Amino acid sequence: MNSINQLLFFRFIILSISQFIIFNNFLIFGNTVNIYLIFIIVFPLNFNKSLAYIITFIYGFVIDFFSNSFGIITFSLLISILIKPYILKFAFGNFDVNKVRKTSEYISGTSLYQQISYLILMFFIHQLILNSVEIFSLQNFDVIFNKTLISSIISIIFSYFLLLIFFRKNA
Amino acid sequence: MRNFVDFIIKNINSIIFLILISISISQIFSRNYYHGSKINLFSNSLLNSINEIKTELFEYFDLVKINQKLVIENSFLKNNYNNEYDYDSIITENNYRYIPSKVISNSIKFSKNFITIDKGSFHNIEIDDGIITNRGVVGVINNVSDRFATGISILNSQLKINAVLKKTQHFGSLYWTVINHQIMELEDIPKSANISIGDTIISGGMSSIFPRNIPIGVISDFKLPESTNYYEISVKLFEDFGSLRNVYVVKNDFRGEFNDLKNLNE
Repeated sequence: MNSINQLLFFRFIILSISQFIIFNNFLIFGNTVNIYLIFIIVFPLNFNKSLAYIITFIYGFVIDFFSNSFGIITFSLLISILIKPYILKFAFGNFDVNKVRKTSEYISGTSLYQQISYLILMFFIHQLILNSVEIFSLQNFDVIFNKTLISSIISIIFSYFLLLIFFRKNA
Repeated sequence: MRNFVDFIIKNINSIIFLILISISISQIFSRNYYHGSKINLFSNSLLNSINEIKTELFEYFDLVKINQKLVIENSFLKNNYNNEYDYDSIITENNYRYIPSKVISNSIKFSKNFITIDKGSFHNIEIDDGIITNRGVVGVINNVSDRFATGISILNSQLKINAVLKKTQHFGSLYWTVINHQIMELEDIPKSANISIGDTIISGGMSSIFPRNIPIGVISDFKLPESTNYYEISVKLFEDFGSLRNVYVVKNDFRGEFNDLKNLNE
């Protein structure tokens, strides 16, 4: 098991456990803090796509299982990992992705604004899909939008600090 | 086959993604009650509209059969009308109009049963109109709203209707004894009427509510108490009130005139 696979394995365990033991249990303005998306945000670049989808599916399934939201988180995580390369390109511009490498190696030289916009886009799109599927009604679009906005802001603040503390070197 | 394998190898990422996303979607709709009911509602409404179109289409193709049925019914009605005309040339049934309607609620288990139908004052239904089927008398309208009307069922111990022995034309009153929803009692038939089990009872047409000659039932039992000159007759109804669905409301256009004239004598 090389270092990237080990890293993935530990992130899987630690992020999923901390999500359903700690972050699922406190609500801020009626919204849970979804830090589990960090797993997708710092997922190694240029990884085997099929494997990435399967790992994401299992990760989503585990979090769904402990959040009693059968399939909803898995669905939105799969969409998130699908659109991640496009958001990366949008936020950081084109860069050389020939090797399987950690995200931190790519974004180490980028500005704070670029990193923040990457985080905002990832979280906002993920929460929008999540809430749309969860509420599943076009008449309640204002509710979907409000929930998305509040939970994105809360999750971005928490995730940013977590990333700063734990993933600065290893992201 | 080789092309197929090539295609799969080439698109393995998309295929895996599609499989995983469809598993998660099926999870969403099968395990979450809310999403399942929403998708059910949607598919049901889609299915209903398709069914409606199908029914309309096939109804069009069935028109030949419907036409044949109508021709048979028409000839039957014409024959009956002619018989009636020969039998009595003064009283015809032209002053009666029939409004088809459906039974919404009906009861048979109480001593005073009522019946609700889906037509009301919007459809010209008024208090004291009769309710009949082709197999018998059902009741009399007692309350009318815009779209609904209620009637006193003949299975109501307070209602008496005028009935006639078809064979001898003796008339009497038919009322319900609450014991059995298929049996009613006929009183006031005099001893001189020569009756037997199986004789048909029809409506009398003397009350201006029901037309004459609507079949009601057959005599199932009768006895002659010693002290009186009148029979006590049990009548088995043709209509099964337990399964009443389609009825006609019968309106007498001349009822007002008839009642005014009747009141002059009283």
